[in-house]
Formats: sequence, C-alpha cells, structure tokens
Amino acid sequence: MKGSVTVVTTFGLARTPAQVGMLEVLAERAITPRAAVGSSLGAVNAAGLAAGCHPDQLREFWGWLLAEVMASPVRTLAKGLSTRQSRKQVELVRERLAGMLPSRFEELAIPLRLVATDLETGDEVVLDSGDLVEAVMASCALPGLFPPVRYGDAHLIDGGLVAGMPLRAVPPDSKTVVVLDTGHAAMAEEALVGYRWWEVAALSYAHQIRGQAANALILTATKHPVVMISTAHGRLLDVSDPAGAVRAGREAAEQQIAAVPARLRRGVYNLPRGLDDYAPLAALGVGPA
Amino acid sequence: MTRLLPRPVHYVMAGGGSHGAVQWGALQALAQTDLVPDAIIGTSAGALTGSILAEDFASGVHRIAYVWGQINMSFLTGDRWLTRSLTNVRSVSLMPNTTQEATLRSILHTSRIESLEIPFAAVATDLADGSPHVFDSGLLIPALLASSAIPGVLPPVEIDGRRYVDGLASANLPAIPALHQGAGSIVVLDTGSRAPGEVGTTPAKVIGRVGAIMAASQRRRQLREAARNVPVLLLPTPADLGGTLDFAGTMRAGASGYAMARAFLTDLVLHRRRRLRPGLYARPDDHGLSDDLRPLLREVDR
Repeated sequence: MKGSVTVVTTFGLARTPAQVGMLEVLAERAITPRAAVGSSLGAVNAAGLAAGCHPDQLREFWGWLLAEVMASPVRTLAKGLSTRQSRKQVELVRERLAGMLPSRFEELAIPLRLVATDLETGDEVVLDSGDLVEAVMASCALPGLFPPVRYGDAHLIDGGLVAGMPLRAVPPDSKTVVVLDTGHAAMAEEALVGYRWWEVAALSYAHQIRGQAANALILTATKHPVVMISTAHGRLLDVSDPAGAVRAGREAAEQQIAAVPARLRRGVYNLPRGLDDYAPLAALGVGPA
Repeated sequence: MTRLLPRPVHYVMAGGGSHGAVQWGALQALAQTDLVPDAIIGTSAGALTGSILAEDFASGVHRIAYVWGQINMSFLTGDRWLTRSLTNVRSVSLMPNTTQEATLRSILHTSRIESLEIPFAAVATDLADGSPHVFDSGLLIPALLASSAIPGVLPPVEIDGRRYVDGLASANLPAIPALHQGAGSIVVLDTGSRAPGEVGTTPAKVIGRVGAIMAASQRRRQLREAARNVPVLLLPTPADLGGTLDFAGTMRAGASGYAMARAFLTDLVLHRRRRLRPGLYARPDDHGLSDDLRPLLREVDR
C-alpha cells in the first residue's frame, strides 16, 4: 500500500486513542492522507489529521479527556445527566479543541468530512464547512456525556448512532480508503469475564452500531479498495490507559499494513472477526483476513 | 392466503418489551385465515409470544392473549426490585433472571425447541462478537432468557460456553435471520415503530431518543434486505401503544391491532390473485415506513 489515501476514523469510546498510534504508523510508512472522514469520538482524530496536528498533541488530548472528563463511568453519567454539569464539561472540551484545531474547515490542510446524527429525524448529517470545533463537538456528542449541539435549525448528536464507520461520507473521488477501526472487531470471549452491568450495556450499544457497518462497507468496497486496521484491545469503557490504547493501535497497524499487498483491488482487506460473518462482505473480502 | 404466499412461510416476531403485548391482535386476525406458518422466529418479547404459538398452534392465540394479560413488571423483577437492584450495583446485571425463568417455566411445558409443534427459533446477540445467534434447537427456556436479557438489566445467559444478551442489539425484528433460514415469504408481527414524538434536548430525553434512532435504523435494514428477496407482509400496528412499561395499555391497543390487521388481510385476499413477488406489502400510510423503504412498497389493494 502506497501513496495517497482517504482515512476514515470510527467510533470506539475509550479505545479511540488507538487511532493515534495507527496514524503514526501511516505517517512512518509515507502513506499520505488526501482526505479525512470521522464519526463519534473518532472525529477528533480525523480533525487532528486534517489540521496537521502532531501526534503528541492528540496523545495529550486523549490523556486529558480520558482522565479528566470520562474518568469513572458512573460519575461521568451522573454529570452527563445534569444539564448544567454537562454544559460545563463541554466548555472545557471546546477550549482544548480550539487550542489544537483551526477555527474553520476552510483553513484545514486537507478536506475533512465529519458525521453527526440529527436528533429529531435520526438522519445522518455530513459536516464539511464552517465552524470546525462546533462540528467536532456535534459529531462526538455522546448521549450521557455531552449535550446535543445546536447547528442551524437542528440539534446534532453522536454520529456513531447511525454511522459508527462513516463510509457513506467518503468523497467519491477517493482511491484507496483506509479505515482506522476501534469499534467493529469482535472481542475474545475470555475478555468478557468479570463484566459489570454498565459494560454489558455499553457493549450491546456498540453492537447495535457495528451492525450498521456491513451495508456501508459493501457499497464502498464495490467501488474502492478498503483497507481495515482494527483493534479490539481493552474494554470500551476502560479509560485508565490511553497510552496503552495508542500502543495497541501502533501494533495493530504495523501487523495489518504488512499483510496488505502492494497493488490493491476493489474489496476489503483485513476484514476483522465479527464483521466476517456477514456473508456478502466475506465474499467481497480479498487478501489475507 | 396460502395461494398468495410462497412457502415456507415464516412469522417474524419483533421484540419490544411490554409492547410485545400488541401482537395478540394481529395474530388473532391471522388465525382467522387459512394460513399456518411453516416456521416462527422471534426476538425477546416476540420470542416468548412465538414459542407459545409454536408449542400448540390451535390454542396458541388464546394462550397468548391470556399470558400477556397476566404479565406486568413483576414478571421480570419480582417484589422489592428496587432494593434488589441496588444490591447488584457492581454486578453483571441490575437484576437476576430467576423470577423471569420461573414465570417462563409456568407458561411453557416443552423443554426442547425441536419438540415444539411448529419449527421455532429465538434470536439472541452474541455478547463477544455482536452477531445475531439463531437458537433453533436445544433447551427452550435458556434460549428465551438469552433472547430477552436486556443488556445491563438482566444477566447475559451462557449457553455452550458463549454469553448471549437480548436480540435487540443485533436483530430486534429478525427478518434477515428468517431469510437465512430459507423463508419463501415473511409475515412481520411488529411492535410499532414509534414516530418521533416531542424531541427534548435534556440529557435524559436525549438518551431515551438514542434507543429509538438506533432501533429504527436496524429495523429498516432488516425490512429492506428481506423485501428485496421475498414477499414481506408488514401487518399494520397501532400507533398508540402507551408507555414502555404500560402492559395494560398495549393489550388494549392490541384490539385495534386486530381490526387493522383484519382489514389489511381482507384487502390482500380480495385484490391479489397471483402469488406475491418480492417486496414490502404494507399500508402506504404505515407510520413505520421510511423513505428508503418506499421503493420496495407494494400496495395491498392494487
């Protein structure tokens, strides 16, 4: 795999920092992004990539977000349920993002498209111009963590609800699509031991999001080569080790990029376990699984 | 009816908690036709209703109305649910499923799925990989408990070394699994897809809305995929089902569900002469239809 690619970042809750490790490996291999697409918390990494942020800036952001804002699931939810507290949290995040990103899409180094959900209609909304920080906040307005973002006449929330893997927003003139996936690979059965009730609920919520990916992946893979880099390292709500998540992302990218041939055809490379049971997708899969 | 629907005919019973009670109305209307399903597949509450029907088809409809008439919250929770859930705050679920299991055992008398009168399957979600799992053989009660293990509220059920939760996380309206089973046509017993009500932006209202958005997107995918391949009858469901925990209100709505389904089936039999082709047979004003389903719509009275 060489040359310029469109990079897509998925949802991933506490696993999202792994995308930073994956981005580092892409840069080391001189795989250059010509467009970025992101959804849910992955929107932060997509925006960081499009802005040309140094990976260390993103590492620092995730270290801060996971430690300060998402620290304990129960406390986070309690804060998220209070309108006043969640507004306060949002201001802190907005300030951080404003310190790291340009204020408008038009100032970015490469085109960026972010996906959010219209709270009223449930429609997928693509944001690609205007106020950048507001768009990132909308795309990652996780219910129970941040309040909806007012955007024109609409209220927008987490894009992950309708497009955890935002492939429909990939620019049509893209060539190779690289998906940095932190939410779709299946977990090992052993990893579920000792789960608490809120983890069972969060994982089931993630499954509902994952189920939507198959159709978008089929449509995209019939037009472009789609290279997936996935990790299922760590629990979706375990915010204790963002550095470990970044390392896991690096390892996944190193292994999975090595498995991809130099010349790519249309289809899916590295289809992760958990999506491989969708028969039409498996039929599209090329290269080593 | 039998001349219209290519066999095997599969009844697909959607989940929906207390809203599952509405299905008795449409089932009553179906029972008045000559149709006998070749297979029944259900998720969650739909799996419970479906298994009663599969156990003894002739008496099934009456038993379903009776069973749902008796059910209320204590079916899941038993007494003192609040104190009990507070003691489980660090556990795998807020409540045990012992009360639910005892209730199921008092309703159903068949121990294995393959011993039921009509081939039956319950759909649950594999907790590790998120795929829908179709239980079409093996012990009935554990499969039903798995199919309706509301994530976080009721414990995941371990069967043959894997953990399962409520089918709502993968296929709440299991039309694609029915297709994979080889259905020739599908009759959908829905639990209503609630039109967006008043949208609030307070955190609690947003969280409530999230479930509805994700369920609607999953339901569309199931209907679309099935209707591209086989005829899918989407029986009408009343819009006013009452609150999520309003079992009695939903039972009453079932009565108008009966009238709606009866009119729908009568129209179909009167206006359609030939075997149905693949597509979604529904009322054009069905509130569960979205724009992306409209191209697949076939009107029943034309």
